[in-house]
Amino acid sequence: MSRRLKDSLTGYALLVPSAVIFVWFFFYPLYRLFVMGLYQQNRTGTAERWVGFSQYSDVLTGHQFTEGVRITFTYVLYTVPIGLVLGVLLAVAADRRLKGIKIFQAIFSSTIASSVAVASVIFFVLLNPQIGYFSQIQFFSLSHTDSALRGVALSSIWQNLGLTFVIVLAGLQAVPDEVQEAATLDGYGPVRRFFKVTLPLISPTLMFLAVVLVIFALQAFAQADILTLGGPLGSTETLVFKIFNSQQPLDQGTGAVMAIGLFGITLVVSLAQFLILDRRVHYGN
Amino acid sequence: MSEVAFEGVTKRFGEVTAVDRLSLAVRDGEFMVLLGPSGCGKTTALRMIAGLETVTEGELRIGDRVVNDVEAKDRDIAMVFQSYALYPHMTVAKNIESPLMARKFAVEAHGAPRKLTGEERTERVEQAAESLGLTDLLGRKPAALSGGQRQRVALARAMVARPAAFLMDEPLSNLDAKLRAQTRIELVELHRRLTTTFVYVTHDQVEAMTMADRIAVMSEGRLQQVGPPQAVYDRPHNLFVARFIGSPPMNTVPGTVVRTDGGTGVQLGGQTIDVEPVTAEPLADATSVIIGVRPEHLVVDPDGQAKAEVRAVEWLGHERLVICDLAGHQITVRQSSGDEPVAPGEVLSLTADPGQIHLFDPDTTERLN
Repeated sequence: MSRRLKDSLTGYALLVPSAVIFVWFFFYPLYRLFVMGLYQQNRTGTAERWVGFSQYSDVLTGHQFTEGVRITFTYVLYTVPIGLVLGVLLAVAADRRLKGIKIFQAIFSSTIASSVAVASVIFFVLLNPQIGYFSQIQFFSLSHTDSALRGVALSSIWQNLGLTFVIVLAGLQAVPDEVQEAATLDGYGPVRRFFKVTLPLISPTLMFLAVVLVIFALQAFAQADILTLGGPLGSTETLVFKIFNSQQPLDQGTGAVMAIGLFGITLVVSLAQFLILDRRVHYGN
Repeated sequence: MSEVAFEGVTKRFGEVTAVDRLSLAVRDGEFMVLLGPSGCGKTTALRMIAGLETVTEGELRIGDRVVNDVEAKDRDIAMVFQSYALYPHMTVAKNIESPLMARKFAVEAHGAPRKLTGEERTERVEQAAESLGLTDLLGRKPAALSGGQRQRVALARAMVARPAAFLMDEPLSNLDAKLRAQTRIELVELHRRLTTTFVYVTHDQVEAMTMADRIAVMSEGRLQQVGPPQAVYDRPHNLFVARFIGSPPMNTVPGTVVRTDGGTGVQLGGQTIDVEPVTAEPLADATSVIIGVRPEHLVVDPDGQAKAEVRAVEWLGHERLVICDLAGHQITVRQSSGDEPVAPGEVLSLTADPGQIHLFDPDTTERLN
């Protein structure tokens, strides 16, 4: 056996475990989901009928799906930019050598340790119309169709802030001091230094966070389920919420198609982010 | 005016005193090298000039201005960092242009300082790039440059704003030996061309000896000696300077003063060696001293008073270093390769010109003669 062949066989052998896991838990279920989208079940789930791609075209152009997409994208717009900016601001504030700064860093990153359920319950109380601290702020009111999604977004922003903070802080700490000092000696004050040096150097970190936060937002479910049950009047029914509600045998085909649709959207959005942002991101040496 | 002067400057980091009552005047247009081992405070001193560290006590002046409370960006200083500190996301041209973007410059002889126009900036960038041979690299990013090229970009960035003084923090230490030797020459030429004050920090005595107008030797936060390289080499003020400058270092051996018929001698291990009479007060009989002789000043001579046994010989091509045992102390003798060969085990009679023998006080470590 040639050396080359041996090497490549070893390489494939090492890939087998992860390939098995991926095929078993990801590709096969995805394939099953795709097939489910081609059938319609009867009311009791005892028989299924081939309906083919017509189900795909019906569901993906139907009001339920497009409304879910609209709500989900609005939710992305509410959570991602604000979350990123707040995370960067907190990280910049905490990125200094002061006594006791670790305490602030621990506090700012603490939301990492809270689950979506915990965050949602906290905001459920805060936004409660009778007893909540924020009950007077109509902008985040969970009782109105035009503001409920903002209330749900608020809890997500808070919950993701810890993650954003920790990752941005790590990015900031990787910026060499000497480069900052060089910019100082070149005559730049702190604000210009931030935009001229710091921001470009942490851009790969921000790019990563942007992609991750968008995917989080596209998959948002528990927040809406706990805070609003999708209401009022379906105004916080995200795509995943709608998919989750398609559990009756009669709806399973529809749910499968919507899930495939969400997968496609996530894929396209992530690719687009990489393509667009990649050109503006600097990856160092 | 770009004299840089420390007047009793101290810098403390908490309990640690990094620079201790430093008084040193770097003259306008001088190439001053701050030399010392790591942790001696030389980099801290440089960073105080740059404004990257505050002054705890004392006064720091650049030109006529006390700059203790002047911000780094307003000091009209350029610095070349050990890591070069180029902006990795910008092209070479943008890197060099950077200091021109933020500041105002007195372009017209009597006009108020103003921002440079795009054309003026480009012209200056091109000039700086050309003088350092970077013209073809202007469009590249730092990641696509070699170490030597990056170093030159850092120099160009420092030059372009025509600062009052250049600060350099071990700028050659990331280069390989050959390139380092080449760059030393280029730096000296650059200094001659710019006639600007250079303050250069290094732990490498070769860099200090070859480039400096004057060397300031530092140890443990204190200034040990300032002077032209040759003067520091010929007459070290104390044991630290004597041992730090010179490669291989000066031989230092403890001994005792004895009065001889001719004048003063030093006794070590039963052997007496004549030394040049001490100029200030004559040393009392039986005073303990440390005798220092540079390896190249020890010569083999049948009449030599010091007997040393050869332990090893290191051949370096153009010269050889003979490691000997002299009354229990290891000493090094530098010989040219033309000298008669010696072998381990041989006993050499060594002598030295009395004028080349240095005497130090073992307690204060100060020079005695």
